[in-house]
Amino acid sequence: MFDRLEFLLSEAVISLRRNKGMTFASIIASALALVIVGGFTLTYIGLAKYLALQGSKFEMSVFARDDASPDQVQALGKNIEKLPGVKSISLKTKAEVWADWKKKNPAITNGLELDNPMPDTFTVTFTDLKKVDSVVALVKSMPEVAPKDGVQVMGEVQNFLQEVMISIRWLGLALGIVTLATGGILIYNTVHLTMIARRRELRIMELVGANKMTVQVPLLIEGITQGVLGALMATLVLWLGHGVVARVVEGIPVIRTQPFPLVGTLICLALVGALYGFICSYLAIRENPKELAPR
Amino acid sequence: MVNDPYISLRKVEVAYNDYVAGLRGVSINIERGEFVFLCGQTGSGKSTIIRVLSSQIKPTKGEAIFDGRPLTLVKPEEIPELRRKIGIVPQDFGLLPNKKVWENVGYAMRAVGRTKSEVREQVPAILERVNILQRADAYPTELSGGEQQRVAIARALINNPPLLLADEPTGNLDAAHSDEIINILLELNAQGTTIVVATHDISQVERAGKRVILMSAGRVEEEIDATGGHHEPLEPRSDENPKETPQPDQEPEPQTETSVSTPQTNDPHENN
Repeated sequence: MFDRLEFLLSEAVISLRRNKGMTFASIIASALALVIVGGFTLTYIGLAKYLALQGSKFEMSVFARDDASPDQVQALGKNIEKLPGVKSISLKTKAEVWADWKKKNPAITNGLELDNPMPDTFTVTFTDLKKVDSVVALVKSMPEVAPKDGVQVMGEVQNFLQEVMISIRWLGLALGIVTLATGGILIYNTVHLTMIARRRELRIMELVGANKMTVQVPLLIEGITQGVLGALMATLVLWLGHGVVARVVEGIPVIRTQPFPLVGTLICLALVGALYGFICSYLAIRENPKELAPR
Repeated sequence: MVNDPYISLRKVEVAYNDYVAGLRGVSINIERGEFVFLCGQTGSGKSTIIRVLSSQIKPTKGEAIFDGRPLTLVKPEEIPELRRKIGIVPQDFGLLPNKKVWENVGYAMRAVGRTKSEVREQVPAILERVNILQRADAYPTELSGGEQQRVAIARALINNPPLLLADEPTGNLDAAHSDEIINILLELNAQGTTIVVATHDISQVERAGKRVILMSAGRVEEEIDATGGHHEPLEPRSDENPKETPQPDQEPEPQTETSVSTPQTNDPHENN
């Protein structure tokens, strides 16, 4: 068993050394692809975590109609509470809102006897900020809600961050596909070149009756190795990049960077790189069967 | 079943494309332990027979049987196992220039799953069989053509195959080295190995005194047995005896189910 493994690995090493230039180019291209994919993924995850933390601070105000009865207001509260994504609601009656307002703005109301113009007001918090838009739409359609400006959404920053996350997702996907394709083509070509360069050995293997595994496994190991080495390089670049960003933003009090998940990133990228290298080399073998056929 | 020939080609046709035919209805039988020369000029079809027997290509029509097994029915994943029963000596030797003689043989053994210790034990004996042990540490570029061919034969013997197919084994050699190679093949045959040699070297064939199948343009022209007796081919030429009118002593043979329009390379890695 060990003897067999040793033979297969030694064959893979010979393959890797046969086209050093192309192997190096494949590893660099794979690393670049995985830096882009990994970098965007980490940024996305970081922002998603940040937004989740902000969720409890995010509020929405809902104003009841002027003519809504106390029972209708209570029913409105219950209906809002039931909506998916809503964490909690709290009600301030007309009188409470008016009292607060007068307290905050004494210069305006002092000495005047005015009718209370304030509506019954709900303050809504969320468990999931992604559901804010749907909750707003549903609440606006409720009959007890004031028809004009009945819902007031706070948190422009959160909206902006969500837009940023969507952009990151699409940009990461687009750039990732382009770079993964480039790296994949390089791995494919490297394995194909190896097949051509090792035509004589492969032919001998076929003539003497070597099985499919013996012929193909070294070529697959070559592709997997390129993918994994690219992943290691990508992890190093991301780790260094994270360190630089952390230093740049450490003076800004609002922003706090998370520690770099080194082990997690390394394992994930290594697995992705291995799978990526395997697929590319498998395609190279599958698409070029003539290179393996004895003549 | 006991009397069935070891190798049997029945009306085998191989068409490389619409215009080029490798074989045009070849029927031959080879018995176990025989030594047979396939003789003819370039393009006569002798190498195509070697390729069919080693499952490198499939017949377009007809049936090829080796050791009771129809080769048209061999699945791609079964080809490695089949090839271990057949030693193949290619015309160009196919040696690895960066490996020594013993490493060339050892590499092939490792490829078919032998361990390092098995290689160490068995390689000297294999090299001894073809009288090349004394050059075990030489590189192929340091060997004469005859010595390189002996290494190629040694490599073909690693699985101790009952059948050895040699494609123009003396094609690149002078007369003295050709004799040397033929003698080795005769010795292997004397030890029980069935030998099929494709060659265009008539003088070499005559000296060996073995059965000869003369081929021309993808057909068997004539057979000469080991005693020098001449025989008509098993299958008459189709242009002389159309299929619609078989000879009285010959039953028309059924078409095989596996007939295909063009020869398919029988590479086990194509259909994965």
